[in-house]
Parts: sequence; structure tokens; C-alpha cells
Amino acid sequence: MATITPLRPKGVSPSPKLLVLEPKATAQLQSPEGRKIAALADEVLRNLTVVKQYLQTLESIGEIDWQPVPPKRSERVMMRAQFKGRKKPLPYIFDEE
Amino acid sequence: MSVEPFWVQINESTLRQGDYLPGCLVPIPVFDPTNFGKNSEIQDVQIEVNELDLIVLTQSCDLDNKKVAQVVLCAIYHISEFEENNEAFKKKGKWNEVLRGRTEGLHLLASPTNPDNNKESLVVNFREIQTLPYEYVLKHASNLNDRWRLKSPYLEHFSQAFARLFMRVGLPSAIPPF
Repeated sequence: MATITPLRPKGVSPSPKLLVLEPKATAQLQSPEGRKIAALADEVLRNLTVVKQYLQTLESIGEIDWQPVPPKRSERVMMRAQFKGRKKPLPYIFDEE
Repeated sequence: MSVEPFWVQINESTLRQGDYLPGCLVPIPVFDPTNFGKNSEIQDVQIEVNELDLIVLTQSCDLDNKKVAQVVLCAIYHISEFEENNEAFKKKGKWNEVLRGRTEGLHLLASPTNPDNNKESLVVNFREIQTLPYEYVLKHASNLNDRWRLKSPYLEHFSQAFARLFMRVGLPSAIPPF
């Protein structure tokens, strides 16, 4: 199908850009009704793509949580402990200048 | 494509960031803190001792210069072990999300023995942090004999992933997505 392309400025040679974009969903429909259907199908496709992306995001958000793995071995033991009072701050060591 | 080794095997009595320490014994107090410490008498209390594989998070320079009395470590698992408790991760593509850094709190490291096989990779859980006394960790590390230490730049990448989790800021609202 012939397409209308803008005039290329001097010294610039990009690939031709279509002024009238062909519908992605139903490119073969040419009649006025057909083009309406094609435009509508394109809009539906765009909306469905957005919905799909949103659902994928929701799915990935829902799956990012996980449970901690239990330890390889775990035992409860009695320990003899003595309370030694409130711990004093550790001495802060300055870097040598 | 073969994967470059992430780890170097060492046998020395030093601690560095990125040291992989399997089988650490981590004591957890399970006694009632309100019934303890009323006086200086010796009391029998219950604690839970858990065996965990840990990786050192404390910066190497702080460990070298003895600037810390406690070492910060976090849990590291084989991915098969992690999947046993997290069935969702058995789904296709889930580990790729972790690999791309899209799963908050988890970080993947290649297997020390078979880096080409991604099924043997290790997963670090940055949400499971432990602190243990320096001498305690050093003694355990020295007793392991041959052990693994994370190499640069995988070490810095691991350290940055941890930092990124801790520095994140939650906003009360955001610009709607475009």
C-alpha cells in the first residue's frame, strides 16, 4: 500500500515515518467501516495491554513475600545466667590522625 | 557461557565481609525478660540454640581494626532449601526476579563449587540478621578450616544490595504512573 511520507530535510536520512499509521490489530480492513472496526480493535488492544500490565504488577507484588527457613538444628537448653547490671558504653576509638 | 567464580577458598583465622560461615550456632533468649535481672543471683534460664548458615555483613575495615565487638551476619541458604519453605519460588521466572534485584531483601550468589549451575546458587536473606560476638565468630570461622570468601566485585555488589534495602524510603503518596 502506498504511504505518504514527510519530506526529508537536507543532509538527514532517517527511515521514512508514516503520517497515517496502519492499525495493528486489523491492518487488512480498507473500507470506512473496516477502518472504524480496526481503530476500535486497536483501542481495545491498547486497553487490554494496560490491564495485562496492571495484572502482572499485582501478581508480582502478591508473590514477593516469603517465609523464613527454619534452622537446620534447634535445641532448647537451660543456661545458668547472672545479671551483671546495665552495660556501660564501649570506649570509642578515634582514628589516628 | 561459563560463570566466573564468585568465591575464593581460604583457610585463615581472619574475618572479612562476605565470609560464608556454615553451621553457626545462634543463641536466642526465650526466657521471660521481666522475671530476670531483678537481682545479681545466678538463675537458670531457657535459651534456644539454632544452627544457621551465615554470611558476614560487617565491613572488612571495621573487622580488621577491631572497631566492633559484635559482627553483623545474615542468613544464607541453598535455593533448594529455600524453596522447600517457599513453594512460590519454584515457579518459572521467580528466581530471575531475584537475580534482577526486584525481590526486596533477597540476593543471589553463585555456588562456590559449581557456579555454572544456577540451581545450586545460594540466596541471602537480608531480613534475617544476626549479631554475634567477634571472638565467637572468629573461633567458629577458624574451626571450619577450608571455607569460602566472596570475591570482588561480587562482594561490593552484595554489600550494595544490603545497603539498598536499608536506605529505601517509603513515601506516603507518589505521582501516578504514566
